[in-house]
Amino acid sequence: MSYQLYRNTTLGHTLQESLDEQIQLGQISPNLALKVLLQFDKAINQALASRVKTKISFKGKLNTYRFCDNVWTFVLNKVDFREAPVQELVKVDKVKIVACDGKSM
Amino acid sequence: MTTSSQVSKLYHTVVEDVINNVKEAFLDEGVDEQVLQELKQLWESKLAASKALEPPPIEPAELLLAPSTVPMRMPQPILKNTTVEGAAVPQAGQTQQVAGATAQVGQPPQRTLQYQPSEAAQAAAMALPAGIFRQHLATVDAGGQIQNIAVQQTGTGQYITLPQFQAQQQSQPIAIQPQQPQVGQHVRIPIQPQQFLHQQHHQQQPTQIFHASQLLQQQAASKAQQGLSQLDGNEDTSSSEDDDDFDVDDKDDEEKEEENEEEQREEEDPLNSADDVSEEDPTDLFDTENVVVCQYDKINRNKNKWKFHLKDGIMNLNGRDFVFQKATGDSEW
Repeated sequence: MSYQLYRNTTLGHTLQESLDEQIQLGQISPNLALKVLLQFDKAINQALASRVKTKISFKGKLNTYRFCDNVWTFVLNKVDFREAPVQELVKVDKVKIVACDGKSM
Repeated sequence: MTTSSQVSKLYHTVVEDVINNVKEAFLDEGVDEQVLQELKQLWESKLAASKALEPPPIEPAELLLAPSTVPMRMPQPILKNTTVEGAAVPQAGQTQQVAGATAQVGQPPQRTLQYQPSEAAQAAAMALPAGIFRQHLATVDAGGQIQNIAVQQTGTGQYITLPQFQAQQQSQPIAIQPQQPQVGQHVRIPIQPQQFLHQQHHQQQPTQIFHASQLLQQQAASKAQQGLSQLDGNEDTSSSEDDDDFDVDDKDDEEKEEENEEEQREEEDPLNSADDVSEEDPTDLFDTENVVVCQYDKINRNKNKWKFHLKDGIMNLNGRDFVFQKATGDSEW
């Protein structure tokens, strides 16, 4: 089993929109679409774990935190993201972080 | 080094990985491999259209100098030839897929040909070369997404358009509607992740013929998602027009009393509404465009100081995507 939370990203959304269009067209069955999504979960979890080396850091004001069903959700304000160690990446006024338990997988 | 090229590389390995690994599943279901290739094209063009993988705008002036890069990333050129004819619909029995999609670039953004069978129109449709008939069945909205693309021919030769089937169209066999602001009339199904799952429940029938009730359900669902919850029956208004005239006969009075009772009940109904008001904020609070999706290694808190140790993350910040293996964060509450 792989986490499904990465479906809630650009890559995941665009895939789901594409699958939805094909279902509407009658080209594929919902069941087949589900299989594609499950394969996506596997692929993205694997790719993130093995292919990404970037380390980043961030600072900001914690607005809200929530811990529910082993999932942390944070809302931060005035957040400054940097690519470690110093390079400026991006600044945002508000960001939501959704994090699943990294140990249970 | 910018991360955007790295991100797009990563995404494309994921796309390849997924497409390659579902080939067998497609074959098992008897779906043509062409459909799989189309899925890949759709996915890639949507990714490009999302602009999440574009390098950061260094200076606004630079953007003005190179406007020609923008159209290149629109999905239309790829969608243009996604016509599928007689695509294999394995369990469909007599049902035959007759139409695919032809997205036409350079047309007014919204144009629909809605087709309902009358005897004559049916005959006319039969006589038309498939190509002509097919051509106008796509609605392309401003975002370049195809909205109305499937036409089903049932065993009796009737056509059902998806997803814009409406009972009221029975009387007008062919209507070309320049889509006007009254978009709400049409059954539009916004494509959203939750709804995708929702639809799966309703689409178990392999033939993909939508029943009116299903469409109504979906309509209701999409309405609910827009926050327009309707408590009083389908397509009814909740206004209390019957308050104004009193000179009606007894029979009507009785009915109206009943109605009034119902209305009163409705007005009283939201018992906990006072509670809801105070909880209005959290939805707003968690609603933001900048999202980080990741896993946590450790979350530490010392008084109001928090430390985050995160890994395997995908971030969408200011419309652009970033990925990280590790992220550490400091924050005060």
